[in-house]
Amino acid sequence: MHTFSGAVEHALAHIEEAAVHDMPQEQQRWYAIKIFERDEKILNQLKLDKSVLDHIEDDIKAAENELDDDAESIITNERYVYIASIIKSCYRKKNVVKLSASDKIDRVITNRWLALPIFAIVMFIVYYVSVTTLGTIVTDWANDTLFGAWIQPGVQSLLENIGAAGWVVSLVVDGIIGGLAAPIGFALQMAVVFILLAFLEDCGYMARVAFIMDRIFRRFGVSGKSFIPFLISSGCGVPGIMASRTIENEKDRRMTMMTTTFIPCGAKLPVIALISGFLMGGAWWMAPLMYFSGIAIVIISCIIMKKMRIFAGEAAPFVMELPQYHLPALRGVFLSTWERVCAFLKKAGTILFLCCAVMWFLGSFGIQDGFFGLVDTEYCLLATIGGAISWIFKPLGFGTWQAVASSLSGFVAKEGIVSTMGVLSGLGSVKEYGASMHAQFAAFFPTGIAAVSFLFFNLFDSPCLAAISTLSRELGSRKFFWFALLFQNVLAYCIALMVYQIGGLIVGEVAFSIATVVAFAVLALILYLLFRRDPNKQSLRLVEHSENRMAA
Amino acid sequence: MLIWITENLASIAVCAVLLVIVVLIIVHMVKDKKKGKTSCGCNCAGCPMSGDCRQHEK
Repeated sequence: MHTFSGAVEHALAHIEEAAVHDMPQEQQRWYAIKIFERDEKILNQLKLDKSVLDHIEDDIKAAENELDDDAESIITNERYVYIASIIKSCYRKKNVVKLSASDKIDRVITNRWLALPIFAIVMFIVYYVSVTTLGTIVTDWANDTLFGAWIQPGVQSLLENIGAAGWVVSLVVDGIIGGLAAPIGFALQMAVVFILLAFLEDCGYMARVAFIMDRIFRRFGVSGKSFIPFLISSGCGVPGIMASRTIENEKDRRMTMMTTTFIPCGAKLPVIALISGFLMGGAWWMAPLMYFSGIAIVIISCIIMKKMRIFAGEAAPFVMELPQYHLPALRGVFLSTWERVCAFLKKAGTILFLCCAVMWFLGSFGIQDGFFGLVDTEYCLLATIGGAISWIFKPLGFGTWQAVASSLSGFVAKEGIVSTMGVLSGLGSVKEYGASMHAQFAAFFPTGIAAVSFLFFNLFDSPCLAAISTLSRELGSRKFFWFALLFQNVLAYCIALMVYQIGGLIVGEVAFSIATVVAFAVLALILYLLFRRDPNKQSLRLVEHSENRMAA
Repeated sequence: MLIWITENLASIAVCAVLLVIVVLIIVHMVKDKKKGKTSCGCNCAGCPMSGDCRQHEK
């Protein structure tokens, strides 16, 4: 018989003695291992007494603490050790002593203590290069030269020369081109991010990241399988939600679908770039900060949800093959980047085009002096709609109707936020494109912290229409769908509220008010939900205990 | 009427072009929706099993 490591054997011996000693000898070990793994079916079948279960749980936890892993993974690992011992006795490798290059790299990259800091450094480098250095050069060229000096003045003079009416020139130049210029200007910056991410995916590093994150996610009750949808969602939420299909456990699958869009997708990059690049004075650290905030919010959401009865249960184990490190094929990196950039430009040519036209109409037409038609900005339909609901967003710091209207357009497509801001700031009519752009956008937000709050709300509220419709289809339940939408929007609101009120108080941009008290109350509630005891574990024990008593 | 059209011919032509573009975009989006494509370019239609999957919905 194969012998496990000391800590496991110690726990198994205790379990055998406490729970299965009256069973046939040959079955005792198998049942003990299953109890050690906390196998629900076996635990239900055995109907153990509460005191026995508590005693066993102490032994399992002692083994988990000693081996710094969860019980299920410990047994999986022991099985691999056993398999390796069999292979060692019957198969001889040529380079048995030498570690491969991948093994050597993995010793550092997937090291227990170094893995996460290395991941953070890699992501910081990716965004530093794309947002601050190379990306800024190409984006500035697109904004200042391509659109600012060539396309917009060119189209404007063409339309004026053929005698088009002023409102038609405004629709085409300010509305459509001005609206599309803002997100398309970021397309080149996004291309740099996509190239770097494709390189990391292709060389085998991202697979290691899944492995690293599995250890962390499992501690919070989420299967490592959930990390793949989260990883895919950094590109687009739609395939991210669909990738959740690989999770067998229905509760885990639904939880993953509801939280996967918290990871900022490619469409949210222009919004991050806008706030960090223009409004925060080129703060390159903002993009990685948003990605790590996304991961933190996913973890916080999962911990809170796992304590709800509808999502309670153990996380499924995650097994994956790690590919060897290799130099990525240039063709693969290029194709991956090209596909993503094309999808973005296609979206700009379709949905954003319509979005810009509609936003221009709503931002130019309205009722003034009792007549419907072209009106001054403060009388337009968008100002009326945005102004009517802006009080909801006042505690978040962005109570201007322009910021509210931009947020609303984000529900159609997240890039729409940037294009709407482009339309509302009237970029087409200004000559010094770059400098004016900063001032116009900044006018929507009274303070810097309000812009950050706006960014947090728009990154973590419900996703675009395409992702929402996919979520509805994949969840397969109206009840869960509405719960997901409500959860995402309420959570985003609470986060933005805390960022603005508490963050603003710290940096001295916000005065203490009732909204600050509410923000602290929300923070206290979130901390309580995070650290309270899991009521489901307690009730599960009580049910088992009462069942045992009834059986007796 | 004819004078008004003549005076605003440029505006009418630009509006007509924009209208055609908008109609084409809407038709394209409806077609994509029917095919199961999403605006992100990564979707059911791009899956190798798209021919077999969700037959009951087609």
